[in-house]
Amino acid sequence: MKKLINDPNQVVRESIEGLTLAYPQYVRQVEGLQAVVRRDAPVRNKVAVLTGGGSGHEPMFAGFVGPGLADGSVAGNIFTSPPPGPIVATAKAIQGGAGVLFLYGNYSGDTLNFDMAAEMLESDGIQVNTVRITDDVASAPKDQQADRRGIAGDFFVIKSAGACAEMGATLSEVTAAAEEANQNTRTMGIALSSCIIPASGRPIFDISEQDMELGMGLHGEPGIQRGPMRPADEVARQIVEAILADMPMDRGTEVAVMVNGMGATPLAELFIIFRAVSRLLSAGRISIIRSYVGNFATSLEMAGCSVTLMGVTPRLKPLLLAPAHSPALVQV
Amino acid sequence: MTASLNAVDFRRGLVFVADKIIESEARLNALDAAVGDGDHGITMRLGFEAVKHRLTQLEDDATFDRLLMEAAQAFMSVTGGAIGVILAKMLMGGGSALRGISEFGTPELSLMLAGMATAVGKAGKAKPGDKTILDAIHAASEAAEDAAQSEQPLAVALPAAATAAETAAQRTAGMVCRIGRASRLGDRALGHSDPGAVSFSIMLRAFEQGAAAR
Repeated sequence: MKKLINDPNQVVRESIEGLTLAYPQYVRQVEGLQAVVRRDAPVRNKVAVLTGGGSGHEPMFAGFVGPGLADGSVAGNIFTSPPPGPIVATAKAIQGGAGVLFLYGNYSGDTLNFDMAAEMLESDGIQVNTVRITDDVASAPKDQQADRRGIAGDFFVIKSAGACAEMGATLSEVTAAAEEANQNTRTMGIALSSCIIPASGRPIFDISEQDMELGMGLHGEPGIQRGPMRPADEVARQIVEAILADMPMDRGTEVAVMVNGMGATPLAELFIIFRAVSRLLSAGRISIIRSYVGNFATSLEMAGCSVTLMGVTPRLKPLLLAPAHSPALVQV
Repeated sequence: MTASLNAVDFRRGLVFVADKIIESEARLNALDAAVGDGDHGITMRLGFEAVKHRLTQLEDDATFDRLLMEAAQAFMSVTGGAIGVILAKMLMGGGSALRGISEFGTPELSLMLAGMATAVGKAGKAKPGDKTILDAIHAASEAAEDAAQSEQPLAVALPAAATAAETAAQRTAGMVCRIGRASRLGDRALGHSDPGAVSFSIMLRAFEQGAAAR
């Protein structure tokens, strides 16, 4: 294993320090914590959006902290949700008196820790709502949608809620926007190789040089099909068909698209995937009103990608197009 | 081992638990690599380093419940993940069951383990048979309850509970996960013991050995 690190046990802390040193115009670190908040937090009378989860998915989550996105993000260790204490402390650092919305991917560890933090905040008189993100089509069947995991689609939910909060909406309005974004967002991923956890120094699963796995999760959770490597256009077709089967779209529907790299796949390949996705959607008369191609929700140095579609409803459209300023995304 | 433990014995037992878990890091990581992301040993080590540190700082006459509550807080403050909350709630559940108690014998062992099983079942929404840490806690709790009903001394009841936890942990290898991240593995988890259940069996055996080593 070759990694540009100093100490496997300090990867998260040092990486967050680096992020805040690199982007002081948007964010600062909460002293003593693996947590990032927007530079001007707390913003008085604004709903505060708090996200977070295990590390190893950079730039998710801390990269999406800033005006128009999340107010704060709490990082756990690699692939491990943060404990309740830092979640509470970060929520207090960002809350401006209008309540806090927790947004995170639907995993049991995150749910246990954020729920406990929410209880602690409520007992201190701070109102907390929660939306758990469930965009991963491959992680559970359609009739068990509430059990699905959250992956790259987290971004569209954070974007929608963050923009809504920035416009001065109430906690219940921001929560409703996040729920609407989550309901209209679907992702499917494909993995070509495993990542290596710094502290263990070992790959988290085995996959042969010839194979790919459709639907694999961001922590190596098994997907729905492992088989021989296919050309990019076929991979894109399989993914788009699976998403549209799960969330049928009428002709004329407007969508936002994210083609997300898992960490080790070159941008050139992500654009080849986007090209195919774009052609498939336009053949179905589905129009892309905004697209994002890059590494947004990674799995350390896993190779592969995911494709996310968000059906853009009238309520979501202005939120999607609103400006955002953060380390990982600047949209004007 | 005498008929019952005092709080000093109890704390020594907990410190030995911390030492044994820290020692078992590689083994627990390897178990977790088969069904998860291979970091269970790291998480447990971090948590129990904090527990050990906290236990050594407490006043000499700290009671059973205080020792367990402080251990829970220390564990949860550094770990995160599902195991952080579940193990903390387990220790708190055991602590609540021992509130106001000054001697720890077989009936108290039974109370503590029942409190732990209830707390973990509630926190993780798991049932025995779901291939989780609860399988080991539940088995130990049942063994302790049997020992309490037949008025066995602690020197018999504690090893019996530890053995029951070990057997239950081994038996999780034949189960399919129904809860948590590993539940997505389906049959692929067959043949692998649940790392949380194994951790608990290591904890209870270490507690027995540490508490007895007067």
